This record gives sequence, structure tokens and C-alpha cells, in this order.
Amino acid sequence: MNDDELIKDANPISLIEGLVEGDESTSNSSSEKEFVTPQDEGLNEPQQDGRRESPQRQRKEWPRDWWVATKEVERTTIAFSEEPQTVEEALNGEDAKKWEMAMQEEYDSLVVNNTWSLVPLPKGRKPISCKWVFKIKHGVHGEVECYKAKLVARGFTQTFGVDYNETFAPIAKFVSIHCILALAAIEDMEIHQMDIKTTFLNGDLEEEIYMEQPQGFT
Amino acid sequence: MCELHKSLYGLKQFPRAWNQKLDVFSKSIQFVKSDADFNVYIAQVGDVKFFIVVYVDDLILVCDNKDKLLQVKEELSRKFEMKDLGDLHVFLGMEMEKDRAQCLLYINQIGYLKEFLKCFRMEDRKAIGVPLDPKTKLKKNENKDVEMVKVPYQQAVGSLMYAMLCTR
Repeated sequence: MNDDELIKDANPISLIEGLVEGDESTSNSSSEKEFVTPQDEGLNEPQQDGRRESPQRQRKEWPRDWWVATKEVERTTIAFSEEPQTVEEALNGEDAKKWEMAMQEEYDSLVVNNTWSLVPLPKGRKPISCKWVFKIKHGVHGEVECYKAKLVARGFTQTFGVDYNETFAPIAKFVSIHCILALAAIEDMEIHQMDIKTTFLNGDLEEEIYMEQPQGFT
Repeated sequence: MCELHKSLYGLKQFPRAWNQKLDVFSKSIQFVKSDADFNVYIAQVGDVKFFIVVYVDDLILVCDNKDKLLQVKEELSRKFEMKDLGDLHVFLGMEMEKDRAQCLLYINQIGYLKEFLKCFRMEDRKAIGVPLDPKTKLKKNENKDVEMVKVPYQQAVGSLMYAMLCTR
């Protein structure tokens, strides 16, 4: 356990951050870190034992990716319909024409937005691969609304330090969402919501990344 | 071979690239990041308080002055391609109900849970109280129920955990 990580004063603001705490005094046996799941944390939760009274504590943040994962689940499990898994399946199936159009549309929008340029691969670099994902969008009453093809990079083929340096997920903690909503309710403030389309086109890359050309457009 | 200029969905730095863009923009309209949560932006001009909460591509805007709110919304729309969803009703599977007269805000997850049951084909199952009777004996499924094999168990647990955290 690293002494630098010990936060000595109990800061009231950081208490509501929903941090996961492991207690210093009980986990001196180094590798046995104690994790408390987020649901064990709470604002005005009564203390169940004396552990948290210790002024010295080591804080460990709950991995943010976890929230992303659970949010994804909710989306992916809805897809029980027969959506093609590969380009071959899409272009040889019944709806080949519709899928082809969807792919062309996505490809065009990527090209228009100057997402990439075609270059020869420099020596010693390994390109990351990409994949087409096919989705049928349904309307409110379950009717087929449109066919969507999306090109996604296979980020798991990236190497740290080469293809990427830093990651971060802009996900607010539930505690802050609840706090602000509560405040808004008490002070009778306006609460509005907005949603960003085509998020991915917004960000510029700092790193040099090479990707294989998408299947079907080489 | 393609050399990427813009981040693409699936890249490791995809969410970060988006966040940095938003960060620069929010600074330009005099918002500061909260120290407690980097995804909450705060601005205070005179008496007007303004909060923006970011959840990847969803934003909640809270303000006690409607004109100011509309102004910031317009600025955001000019910069990014956005969909204005108006008053907050549904967010991350939470449904909101406002009672302005009494300054109350109710949140529920009825919709999310119904969708969850539908996903795992359990709409017509019987409800049961929790916690279970401590005397309940759990049996191992000996005849390897074919139906159970098909259940995406981890996803079900994940979805339940999400529901549990959302309105806790």
C-alpha cells in the first residue's frame, strides 16, 4: 500500500463522491485490498462498525468503465431480432439491398467528416482493425423504422503508449445526478435535457492511429 | 491503410476525445468543472445558478433562469449537433415526475424494469417478496434445463445492478 495515496483529512466534499474505500488498518497485509461495492456507500448511512472512523484511509475509485458496461447491456439485450453479424451475412441475406445502402450512408458520412485519409502504413506500425455493426431500429410499436450500419474500431487491438495514452469516460456519478436533481426540485429550477448526435465525430485525435480499411470499401 | 484524424466509436480514446472537446467549449462559455465530479459543470452569474451534468452523450441542464437556459442551449446547439429533448422526463432509464407546487421530484424505473423483464422473457413470471425465506432450500438443477442454458446470466445480473444503483 502506497503511503502517498493516503488522504489524511476527511474532506466532506469528497465523501459524497461515492468513492470506494478500503481501510488502512485492516489491509496492512498488502495485496488483500478490501473493496466495498458502491451500494454499500451512502450519504448518511449509519456506521456499522468503527472502521470508517479512522482518519487515515486509502481511497480507490470504482472503475468508471463499469458504468458504461452496464449501460451497454441494456441496449444490447434488446436486440433479439435477426440482425446480421458479419458483412457477408448482411450482403447475402434477404435485406442485402437495404444493408448495402446503410453501409454506403455511414461510409459517406465518415468520408465527408474527414474521419481519415488513406496513407501507406509506416514501417513497424500495426493497424487496428474495424468492424461493421448492423442494427434494425424499431419504432415505438415495434415496427421496423430503419436499417443502420455502423463502423466501429476494434479498440481492444490498440496498444497502450502506441495507439493511445489516456482514456476517460465522461460519466457523472449517480450521487451528483441525484444531488443536482434534488437541488433543482427544492429551488424550483428548470431542468432540461439534451442529447448529442454522432458524438464520435466531435473529437479530434492526438495520437497517430492507423486502421484497416473497412470491409467492402477497399 | 487509413490514418485516423477523428476518433471513431470503439477506440480507447473515443470518450476522452469527446470530453476534451466539450471541456474547451464549456470553458469558453464561462463554466467551471466541479472539483467533486469532473462531469459536472457549474456557472454562477450574479443570482443565476447553472449546472450541466454530462453522461457521455446525454446532458442535463439545470438553471433557475429560463432565459439563460435557452441561451446556453442555443450556444450548445450551434457548436454540436444536438437534439433538444426539452423538459427532463426520462434519463438513463429513470423516469421523472415533477410536482412543482410542493417542490418535489419523483424518480422511478418502472419503464426500465418492464423492459428488463421483456428482454429476459420474464414478463409473465410471478412476483416474489425479498428477502427470501431463510429456510428456503436451493436445489441444483439436475436435468440441465435446456431453457436455463440460454439465459444470458451475466447480462441479467448487470442489468439488475444498474437498476439497483440508479434510484438508490
